[in-house]
Amino acid sequence: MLKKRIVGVINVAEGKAVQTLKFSNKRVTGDPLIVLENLDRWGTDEILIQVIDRSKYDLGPDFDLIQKMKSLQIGTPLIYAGGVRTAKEGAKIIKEGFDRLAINSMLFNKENELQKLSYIIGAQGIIASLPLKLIKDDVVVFDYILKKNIHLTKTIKRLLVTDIISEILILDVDNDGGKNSFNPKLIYKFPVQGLKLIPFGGISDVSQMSSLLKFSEVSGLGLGNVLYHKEHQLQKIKEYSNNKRYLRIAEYRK
Amino acid sequence: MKNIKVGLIDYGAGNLASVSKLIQFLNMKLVIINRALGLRSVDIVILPGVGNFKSAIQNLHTKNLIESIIEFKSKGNPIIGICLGMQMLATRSFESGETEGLNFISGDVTSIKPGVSHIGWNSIVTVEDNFFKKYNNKYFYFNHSYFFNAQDQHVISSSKFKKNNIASIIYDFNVLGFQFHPEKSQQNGKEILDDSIKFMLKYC
Repeated sequence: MLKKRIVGVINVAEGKAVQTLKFSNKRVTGDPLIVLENLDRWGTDEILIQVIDRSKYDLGPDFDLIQKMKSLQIGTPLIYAGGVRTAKEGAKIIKEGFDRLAINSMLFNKENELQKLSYIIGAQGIIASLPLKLIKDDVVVFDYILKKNIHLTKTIKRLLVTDIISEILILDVDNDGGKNSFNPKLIYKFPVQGLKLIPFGGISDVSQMSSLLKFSEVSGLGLGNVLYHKEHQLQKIKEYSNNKRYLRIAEYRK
Repeated sequence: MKNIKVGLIDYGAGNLASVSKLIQFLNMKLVIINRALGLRSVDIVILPGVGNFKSAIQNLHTKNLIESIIEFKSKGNPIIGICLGMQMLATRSFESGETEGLNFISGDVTSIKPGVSHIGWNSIVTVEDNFFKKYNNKYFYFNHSYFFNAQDQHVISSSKFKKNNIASIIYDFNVLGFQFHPEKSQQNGKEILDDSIKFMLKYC
């Protein structure tokens, strides 16, 4: 039976692992390579490397970091996010050892490149990454570069339901970095129904995780710092009685 | 078995880096093959793959690798296909239109369901009394939208996804295919690939 996933999220800025608060403040927490090795060793289901300072300055993907990660022996599926502008860049990242890409800017500005990328790596390789806010009970997308809220246009909604994207990472901007605060309204009020969602941002408590895993739309949970400051935290999450039916047992790397 | 030489086909489609790392981790000699001559020097070939069937087969043609792979297989040498690489072992695929595959194991590759992908960790259910039974009910990582409709006699294990029984391992004498990614299935993946390479070299 297919299980839901715990996606360990490593936010990276200027080559360092960082904790963010409400998508603005950053606090350095360590070396992303060490965090990556730990998440792999502890048996995380997928690991998302989210490089948060690339698109804003049109720097493209962080190939330096990708090369460093390539040199490690990581046996866990890897997702890359940050600065992917073209299908060629995306395909190169996959060739360097990543399995999937989480994209944001391409969704809004480069539909043709997104179509090409999906043709090359398959829809299963592409996750739409959407920072979201709840404004007067409406779910809106937060453009973190222009720092403004926008409604999902018909074009974007159409792209989300076509065969070019497999899942959507929904980031709770207002509760990013918070404790036990992810707003479940972002799931059931999401403007397009029937899609597979991965909530992220403010998810820290195991019973909160159980509640979120119950949603049929939820295919996995993105967890940040809550995972990598305590060595056995992932196992605790997976062994929590209400989570067992949804999650694969965590297996430490031998 | 010492000094096993594993040829990894580089045809521009897919995650070469991870499979390479795993082969080296297993203390086997890695040979990257991107032209026909390379197949002469290896004991076993792995066909990796991520992406689009039509594009992958086109790439194999462009690099003049199809004939050499067919010759390698026809001489009884072992081949392992991973994910898209497993699908390429089929008769044909209907991804992006109809495209002929290598036809090493008969069957077609079709969409699971439009807009639906099989992503994540799923268990495999092995047919009784085969080499892979120790992996029965173990979890492996899947990431695909098309699947191989192989005949039952070639299906070593299947995995339940929605209303489908997806062939997760297929086998016919010197040809083996994994729909999941052993290189991204942590400890289970390392063990199954190690066991499979040694099994194929012993019995083929």
